[in-house]
Amino acid sequence: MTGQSDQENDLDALLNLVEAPAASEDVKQRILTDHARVTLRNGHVAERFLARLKKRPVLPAGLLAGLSAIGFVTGMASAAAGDVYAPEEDVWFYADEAIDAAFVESEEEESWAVE
Amino acid sequence: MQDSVDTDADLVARAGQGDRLAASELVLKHTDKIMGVCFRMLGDRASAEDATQETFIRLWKHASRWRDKGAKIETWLYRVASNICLDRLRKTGREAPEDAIPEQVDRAKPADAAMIEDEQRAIIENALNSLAERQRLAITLCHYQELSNIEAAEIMETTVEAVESLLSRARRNLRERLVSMKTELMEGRAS
Repeated sequence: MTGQSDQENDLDALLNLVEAPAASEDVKQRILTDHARVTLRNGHVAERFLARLKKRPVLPAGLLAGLSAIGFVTGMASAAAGDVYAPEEDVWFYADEAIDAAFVESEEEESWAVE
Repeated sequence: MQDSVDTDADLVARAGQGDRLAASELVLKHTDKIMGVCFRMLGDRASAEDATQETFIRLWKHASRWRDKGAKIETWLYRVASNICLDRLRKTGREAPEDAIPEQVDRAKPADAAMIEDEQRAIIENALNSLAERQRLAITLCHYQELSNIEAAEIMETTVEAVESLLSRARRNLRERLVSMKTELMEGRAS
């Protein structure tokens, strides 16, 4: 704090008037109750998972097989749903025909095309 | 400092395994510091206690996965508490209620002196509460919690230069707000 101006020291003195209260015993107890609850729950989750694995050792394999089957069926279904090539459904299909016809008609009028 | 890091990390690891004694030790060691930050940021005891409790819930949730990479538990707790307070201030509006009752620290003083001190505290608390959130946090960490600018920067996830700038602006704003009250406050302290 050495070298601080009087103004700075005054401000520090004023700020020091505001003291924060200590945490009450009640909140400390609540925090410890939370600790018991959270660690108990974490323990329960791990224990439940391990117990389930012990009871049903084929569960992960079954889950994997199920997911693979779903993936296979979805793949087959999407492969079968491929679009059939149908150019007449394309907007440009008719436009292209019209342009070609227009060229033929205009060329028919050219002198070299008249017999 | 290294001992403190090792001890805290060990306590957190044990608390994560469900060791209530380790949890109690962490609570005894850090609750008041965290409460101090929360109180100065939020301005009232009930909110500060809720924020302190929430900070420790997060510690318990992380405790079993805590990896000692040299990070101080205290710094982590301050950072979590700061973020919780900033979130709450943004959700609820940062101004403390005008009629907030100042904390009674010393009940043994004569009624007049106690009243003057309460009034002084209320004025300074209002001046602190009128600061921008991060300015108030910088003052709280560096002045009240007596942390270095480097530690404050780590907690606030910013640079040391940014902390210095926040502190400088905070002190300038506080001086401007308090200068008009200075004489009155000093007279009150002298009496």
